[in-house]
Amino acid sequence: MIRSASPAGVTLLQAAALLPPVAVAVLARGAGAAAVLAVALLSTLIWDLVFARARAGSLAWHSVTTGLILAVAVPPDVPLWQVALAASFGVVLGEQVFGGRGFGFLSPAVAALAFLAFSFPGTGLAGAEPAVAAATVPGLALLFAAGLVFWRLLAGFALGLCLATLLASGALPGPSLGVSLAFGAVFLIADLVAAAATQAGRWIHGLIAGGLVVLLAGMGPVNALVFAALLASLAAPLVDHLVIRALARRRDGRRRHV
Amino acid sequence: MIGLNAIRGRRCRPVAGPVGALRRPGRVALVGADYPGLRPVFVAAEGDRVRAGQALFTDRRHPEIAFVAPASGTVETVALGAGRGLSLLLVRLDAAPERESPVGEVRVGDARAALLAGGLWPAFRRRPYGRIPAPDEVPQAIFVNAMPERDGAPDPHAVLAEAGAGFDRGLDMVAELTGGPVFVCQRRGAAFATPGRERIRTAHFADLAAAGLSSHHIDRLGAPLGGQSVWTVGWQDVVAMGELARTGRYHGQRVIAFHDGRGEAALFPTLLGAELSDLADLPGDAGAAFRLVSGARIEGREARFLGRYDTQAALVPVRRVSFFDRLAKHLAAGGKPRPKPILPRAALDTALPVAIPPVPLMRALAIGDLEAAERLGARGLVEEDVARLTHLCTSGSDYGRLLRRVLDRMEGAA
Repeated sequence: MIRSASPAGVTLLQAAALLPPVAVAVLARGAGAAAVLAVALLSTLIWDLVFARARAGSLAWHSVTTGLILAVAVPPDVPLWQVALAASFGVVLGEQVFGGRGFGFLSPAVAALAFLAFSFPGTGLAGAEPAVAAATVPGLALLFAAGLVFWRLLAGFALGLCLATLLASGALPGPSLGVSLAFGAVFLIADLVAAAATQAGRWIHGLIAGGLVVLLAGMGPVNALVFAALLASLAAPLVDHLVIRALARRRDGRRRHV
Repeated sequence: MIGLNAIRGRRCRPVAGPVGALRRPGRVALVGADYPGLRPVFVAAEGDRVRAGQALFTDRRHPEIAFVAPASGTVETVALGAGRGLSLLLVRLDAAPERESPVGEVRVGDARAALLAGGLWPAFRRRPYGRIPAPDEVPQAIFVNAMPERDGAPDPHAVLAEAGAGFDRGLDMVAELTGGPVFVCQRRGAAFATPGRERIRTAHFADLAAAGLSSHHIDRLGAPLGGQSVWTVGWQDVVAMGELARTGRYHGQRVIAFHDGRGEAALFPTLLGAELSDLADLPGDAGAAFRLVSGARIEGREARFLGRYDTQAALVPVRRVSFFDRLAKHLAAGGKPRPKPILPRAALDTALPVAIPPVPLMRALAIGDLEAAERLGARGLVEEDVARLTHLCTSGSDYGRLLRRVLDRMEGAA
């Protein structure tokens, strides 16, 4: 039996996909963003190390991707202690308490950003710049080629966004909304672990997330996206459960005398 | 929308080339790994001379089922494994094959007894649970798999074009075992069974990699109702049954596709359980750079002998450790290995032959959640169905073993 994948390989690919948007964000925003990047990476890695030691295991390094996402989505004017606190919350309560990456049901980056926006009102999350959206494209292509992003989820998200906007305002959303949400859609909504695990479930997950973004639009595009991602990923296990029940019912109905 | 779970994508690439001459190995073996749960009662002992088709051992629970020697020779090793199961029975073959004369036709109506005594009963496996059926069991239907099961398997067309009559006679034998239909599952455009016979139906499937497995055929054509069973059998075994019916002789030959690890594949007949190193044209410094695999190159198992149900074997080059691997290993260095996570990937979605969502199934199997596995439909699966999950999953779990553990518990509770 030849095995084709390891968790570390997935982490490396995701980190590679995140590099262009991180580079664009840091270059455009200056020293403040570099400090945020350093603090986010440091706090996530420290917690990764602490839990690895506590479990007498090895460092998973996956928290690097969490740190990189935070570096793009946290604005440079946020105090660094808040960044450290949010990153710690995300890694510990979004991921490590469940046993590490792949064992939980939340994206640690989403948990961290939701914590930041919720605990420190007035924090307008970043990452909606057109330059960041453009830099997301090569990463999306890489993830898509490696099968590490689900097109059904992204398509469902776009569809949900369009439908909800149509219902709310009677018109389709302009391209500017899509640009401002591109980074978050790829790296927050379409998280591998937090996404629904069935194919129909991924459509529904995307639709829910898209609808919620429109519903919450008043708090700014990235803030709305973070909370939409959080709520949608909380709903994902239920969606999966219902889809599996529907599949089982259909299988039993189709089962017949041959 | 739920239907999108159906398989699609990867096409199957069978080996079609001309069938070469018989390659006779020096030794053949019956390996316990092919018969999970079998407790053998040995009929032959070490040092005994055996003829082709002579019983070597029987199943303790069903003494009627004979497991026979594929060719004449001397029993070299008999080894028991854990729980008094079979580990290995090794036969050193005679230098020259004995001349075989027909012993007489099997009469219509005698198929069951002839197959049991003639050593071809283990060719059948029943669903649920994927075991050799009991001698008196009558299935609802029998599924003959006349598809290339996986990438790199022999294309039945290359062989059946000549053995047509034998295949039809074999199908008649199979049809005697059930009151229901016998489905001949084949690729689009193939026509192996002579049409127009009662209860023998042909079904055509697309050329997709996961459509070659019997689970897919059963899923499409009708899974067993509660308490009942369906059986599966491979096309080469049906040809062997036709041979048994015609001559009364056990036909121990199988056409396999052998992949030489350099991208070339050869089709040739050999004996069941053949020692793979005798078939391979081993390169000079073989030991270090290659492994022998029975089954598909990717999903097969490392083995010295050809598996009972395998139709292909391969020399697989041992992959050189790439920079990427070393970096990943270096990053994960230190500490003891922790359980690795199941990370969902798009490739998993096309890995199963039936419309079961793979990630929930993997999670259910990994933690032994019987109820969830049952709801997902794991009862109808066998090891070969989940082999590709093992290949693709980041967790490093052997889903075949996990599935068997769950099936054992389901069987015990039933």
